Amino acid sequence: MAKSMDPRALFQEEAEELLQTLESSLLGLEDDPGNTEHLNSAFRALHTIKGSATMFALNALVGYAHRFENVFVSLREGNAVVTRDLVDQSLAARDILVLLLRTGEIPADVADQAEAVMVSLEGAVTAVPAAAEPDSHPRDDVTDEADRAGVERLLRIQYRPSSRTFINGTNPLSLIRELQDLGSTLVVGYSREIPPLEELQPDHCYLAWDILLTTDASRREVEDVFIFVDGESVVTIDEVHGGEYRRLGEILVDRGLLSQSDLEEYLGNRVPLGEVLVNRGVVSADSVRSALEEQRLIARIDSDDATSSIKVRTRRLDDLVSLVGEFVSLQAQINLTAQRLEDRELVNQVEQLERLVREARELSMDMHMVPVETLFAPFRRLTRELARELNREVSLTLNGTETELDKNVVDQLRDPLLHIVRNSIDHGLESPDARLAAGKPREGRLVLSAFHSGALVMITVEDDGAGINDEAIRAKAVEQGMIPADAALTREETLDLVFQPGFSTAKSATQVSGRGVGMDVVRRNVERLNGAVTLSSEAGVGTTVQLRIPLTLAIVEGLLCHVAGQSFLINLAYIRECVDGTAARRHSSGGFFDYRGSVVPLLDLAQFYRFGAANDDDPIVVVAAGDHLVGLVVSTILGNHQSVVKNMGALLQHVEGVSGAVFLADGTPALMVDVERLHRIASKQNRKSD
Amino acid sequence: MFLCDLQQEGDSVVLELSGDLTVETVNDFVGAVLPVLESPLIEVRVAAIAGFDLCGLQSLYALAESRRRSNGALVFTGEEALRRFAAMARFAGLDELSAASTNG
Repeated sequence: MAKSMDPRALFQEEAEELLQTLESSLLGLEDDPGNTEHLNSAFRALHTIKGSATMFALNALVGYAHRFENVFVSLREGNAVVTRDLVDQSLAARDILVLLLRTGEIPADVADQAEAVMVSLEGAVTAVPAAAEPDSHPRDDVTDEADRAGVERLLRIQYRPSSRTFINGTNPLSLIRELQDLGSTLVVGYSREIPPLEELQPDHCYLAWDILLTTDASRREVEDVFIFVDGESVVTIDEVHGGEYRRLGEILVDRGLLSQSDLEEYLGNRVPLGEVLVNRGVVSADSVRSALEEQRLIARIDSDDATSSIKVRTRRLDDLVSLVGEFVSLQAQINLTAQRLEDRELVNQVEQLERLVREARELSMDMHMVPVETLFAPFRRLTRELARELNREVSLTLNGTETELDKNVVDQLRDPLLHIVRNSIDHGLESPDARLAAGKPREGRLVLSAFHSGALVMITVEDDGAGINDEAIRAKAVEQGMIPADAALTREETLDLVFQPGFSTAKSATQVSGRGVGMDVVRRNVERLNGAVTLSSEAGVGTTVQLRIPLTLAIVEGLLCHVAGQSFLINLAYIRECVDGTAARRHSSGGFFDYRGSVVPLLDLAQFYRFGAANDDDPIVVVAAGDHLVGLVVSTILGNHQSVVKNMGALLQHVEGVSGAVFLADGTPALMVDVERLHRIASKQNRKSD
Repeated sequence: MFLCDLQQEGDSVVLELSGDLTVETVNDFVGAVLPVLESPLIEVRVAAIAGFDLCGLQSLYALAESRRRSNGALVFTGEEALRRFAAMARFAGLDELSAASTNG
């Protein structure tokens, strides 16, 4: 049996998360001192840390957190206001808590400093200016119960469409989707009214829904979703109050589906109430199901999520993903066997299995995903500290923080991103005076963004700093012997030089705005994730670094191809289209072909991997590396394949153009094509042949 | 466009569905199925390109319900399209409908 997690380790992990929350809340308060949400969040974090630390007799931590908490008690009671100084001292006190959490005691050499920080913090609690008081609790004014927005509550929406709903052109799914946009929904559909086919009025609607919506939207906003339903449809919206456990019978009575006297009569049975009611035809099975869902949801809300989640070690999740990956491979093998045997029943069962395996795969991958917020959040503090240290004024914007990414990918992106952000603040953004002189606002802008693009996640770091002087890069590259003095490079290729190992030196950093510092390491780390990094910049306007990262490293869906009899897998995330080789119009040099009006470079994989040469009529798989397209010539396209990607091991890890290997259904290996790398090679080859 | 191609294979009937089974085409579908409803086995083959709205989904459920009542065999095949409309039914909270129309 697996060992459960050590309670002390669990506390440590939770406390670290809470300290991260505390830091984000403090920085939020700095930007918006009257924000009660940030204030309460900081207080809750401190209170929880203190309470949990008491259980482990971490007295120094408890004592320090208690004094810290007192400061927030004053703030919440309106006896003090948030100032910049208070945030400074709070952040310093938070760092002492981090130290205390790791060491248990305040080390002797920082004891004086820790005390000084706390005394300063307590001193920073200044009295409330008389005029400031009303502003510190702006939300207390919201009292309109009938149509309040901003307060989260649970609504039960009963939607009974009229029989003519479909004919009238209303799509109930669109309405459910709109409700979903307003908050989180639990949808229970009623399909029991659908008669057998011989009695069916084909275009009549027999369906109905109960929707439990947890939302902070106003009632008006919810009603507006149904504004265009026809007059014969019935929509009722009721607020469901939590606070206490409600029995099934109470919910059904509340919904008007059962009278109180009938309820009492049926409760005399020993059989579960729902079963009795359905058997006797008092209410439908769907009604009972819907009421039970409501009961569960309220119970979940009331338990304050305490039991709705558990901590699982990341390694166990890794093991689970890996195991599901093996299922995927095994399922593919069974599929092959079923097709070979031509057993119809077995094929059907395998299709069911395939569905289940796919669901298990999606679920396990989901469990492995974390929001990019966990990656971006520390940069709020880092930006603040670096800006102060370097005499910069920087406004940081984080976009797409809810974008989800594999936790392992997030962990490995931390260092490269740190490098890029440091470079941006240190060498990209100018000092306030220099910015003013250049006609820019004093405050520099730094934007971290994340968004999904197919099975890839794009992460960009964008600044409006001085940009990169490509002439200086070129001169440096020539000086270092990386390129000949007369090399014809596009601007993109010139900028790409900063990723070359050895390009960066302290001296060059000054001459070329420092962008070369460690960028080769950044590229190496990103490529290790099968990703890519590119740079774009305009002198005087700013610089953007973009990382393209696969959503997950574990299981890949790819297109299986043969190249001179060998199997290769191309990640579907990169594939735009497959083109029939006989129809493709190749250019005379053979290095390019016409693709939807564009000239796209071709890379013959057989030739590249030294298996021989492709035929002119071989199919072309068009892949996109960022904005750049490349046509990969393969011998045969076999079809889709899902698989666990294995790394190549120490001996083979430097094989060019291959990023890993997978096992096929029959147990033979296939190599994973490294699209990003091949794109760069294809570009170089074609440049040489020009 | 919706196409419901019907083939008699011994005692079995195979219905090949392609195009969109929606409120505009559902009458064609039901019209094609009703005459063969008594066949011992009905196989509904759903082409990957087939699309459904709730009305179409509802009619497949009605077919499954008829077969269940008469103990007649019903098989749905066409993994990709079935997966898509099972997902749609799940989204709408219509779990039984999803199960009936995909499993027969």
